[in-house]
Amino acid sequence: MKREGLERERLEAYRDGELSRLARWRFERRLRRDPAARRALAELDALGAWLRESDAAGPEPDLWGSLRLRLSAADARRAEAEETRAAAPSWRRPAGYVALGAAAVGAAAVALVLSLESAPAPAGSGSGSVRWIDARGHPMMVLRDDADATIIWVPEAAEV
Amino acid sequence: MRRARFGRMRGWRLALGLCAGLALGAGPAAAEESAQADGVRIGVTVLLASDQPGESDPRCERFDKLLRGQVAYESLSVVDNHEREVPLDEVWTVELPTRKHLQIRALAADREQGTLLSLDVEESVQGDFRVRPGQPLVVGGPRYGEGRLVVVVDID
Repeated sequence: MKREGLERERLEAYRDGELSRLARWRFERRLRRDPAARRALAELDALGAWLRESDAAGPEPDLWGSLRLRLSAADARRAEAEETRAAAPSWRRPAGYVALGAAAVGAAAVALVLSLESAPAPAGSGSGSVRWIDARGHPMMVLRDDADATIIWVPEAAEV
Repeated sequence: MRRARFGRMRGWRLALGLCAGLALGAGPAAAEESAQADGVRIGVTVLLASDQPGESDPRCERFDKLLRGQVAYESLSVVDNHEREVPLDEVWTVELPTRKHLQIRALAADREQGTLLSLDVEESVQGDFRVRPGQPLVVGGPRYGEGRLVVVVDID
């Protein structure tokens, strides 16, 4: 019974693309040899198709809200890790001079932008708090981002 | 005989694998667990930056200092106030006076660096912010009533 549960979990993980490359390869090898596993996978596919049809008929559950935050969580952690790496003096790295040049060009370009719609964290933002921000197409201004406060203004947004 | 030897080898390999797995996985897993147990005290204050003059609300003094000169308004008042201990990685949804939702999720807490927050104002701004105590995150601008709605997120 427990084994069946594990099998089911593995099947679902395979179907959802959650297995690692090696585990996926091993599972596909097993699928080629095991008709019962192929049958179980086909059943799962059929169930998935049926559920999708049912969802299409009824109202969609509002899962996107929490999922959206979950997705950005991964981005935030990645951005933080990149920021930590970037904190090392760049001139000590072989690509440091290229990066410095690119940063200068980037800074000049940013100075020309009057309103932002989506922006990554400013490099080396120090005491600032913005790591990643997106205003979904609305014009947006970061009025201040320092040790006292971060103020973000979306002036043209529709009435909320 | 050969089968028994194979069985012993397999046992050794399993034991070695387990040790390596424990050595690699135990540290980060324990740290993650302790972080999961923690929560962050988050305060959400909803303000109205009104175009009309009005009495000054003493609760707004701090926010007035932050906003004055940055955005145009005549008076500032507190519309709503929420405070909660939010476990890490849990989404806290706050309904704004306009029926739109504000979602906050604390991703990581660090005493020195502050709390990494993921914030989403429905149909408006979303982003990730490293917020420190005494350094509020202010999101404003949407029209509401006779002025603009301002959401202040504070960390304790």
